Amino acid sequence: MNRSTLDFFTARFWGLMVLYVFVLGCNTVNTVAPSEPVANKQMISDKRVLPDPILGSRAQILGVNETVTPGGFAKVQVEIRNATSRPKHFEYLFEWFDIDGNLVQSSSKVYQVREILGKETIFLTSIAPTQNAKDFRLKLTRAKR
Amino acid sequence: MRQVKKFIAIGMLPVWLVGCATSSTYVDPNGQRTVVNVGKINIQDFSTAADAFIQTILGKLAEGQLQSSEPGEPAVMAISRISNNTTAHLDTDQLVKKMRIELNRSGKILTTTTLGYGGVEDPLAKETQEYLAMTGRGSGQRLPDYTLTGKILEDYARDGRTKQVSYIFQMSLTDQAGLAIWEDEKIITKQGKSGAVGW
Repeated sequence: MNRSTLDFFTARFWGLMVLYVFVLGCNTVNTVAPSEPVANKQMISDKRVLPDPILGSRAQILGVNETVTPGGFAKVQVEIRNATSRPKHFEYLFEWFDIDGNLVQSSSKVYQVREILGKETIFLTSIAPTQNAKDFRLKLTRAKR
Repeated sequence: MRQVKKFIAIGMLPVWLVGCATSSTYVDPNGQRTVVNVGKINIQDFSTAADAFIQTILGKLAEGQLQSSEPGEPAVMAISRISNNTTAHLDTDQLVKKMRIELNRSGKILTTTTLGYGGVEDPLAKETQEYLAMTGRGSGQRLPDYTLTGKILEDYARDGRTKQVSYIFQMSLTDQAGLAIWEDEKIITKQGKSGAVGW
């Protein structure tokens, strides 16, 4: 291979690398936050069932924060991160259970669609529908719509 | 004979398959198999908007910010004007009823059916209430602590063959002093490719 051919492929390679970085960079999120946050999250231990590794990379669960509001309603916040570098969609649904473990029925519960940018972290929140609802379950699935 | 039976069975197979086949099936209205149309508000869109509003109202309740005028009793809400500013003919109860059900289940906010914008929802309940008040056996109509108003709008956009429609749901809860104690907006945006002919 002569020098001009090598230069041609080298230039093409670096051109593609620059394009690759720009394309990826446009779909990822840079963040900045206080190094010592004032907020005191009440993180809880959780049980996870993750049969879908692809979904697990799109909507990676970082932690669960649960509180009880002054009105006596439980409130939960789940931190989700997109570990990939591309925008992804997923759907989620919160279910709540009373003190006896019974599902609290809801007529408006429907899977919600969310978009999450590459490397972005978002929060999914839910407030218990009744004061008796104490436990919850978050269902995550790949977006079909 | 066995061969004949076998051929008859094979020959009848298409008849059985066609006879048993159906083009209709039940789907969960809250599931993921519901149809998504760009040109209309689907049933799951009403559920999505209602769920979003309920969450923020519950947030207010959870912080103790929506109080009843009767101590120890749930707050009373009346349904005021819910406008449909879209091009579709739709019943706004598809949104409001879901909200009412969940607020009722919370035990914190009940909806009156004997007072509302445009007329009484339950005329018989209204007559019963008035009769009991007249005979001294009831307290009559309790004034609502809050009134619920709202509006549904739509916005169209197009870029080449891609068409986009946004449905904007706006709701407010107003207290007895005429102040909007809760307000929220939910936008549902859908995109699709338009066909070669038509919008």
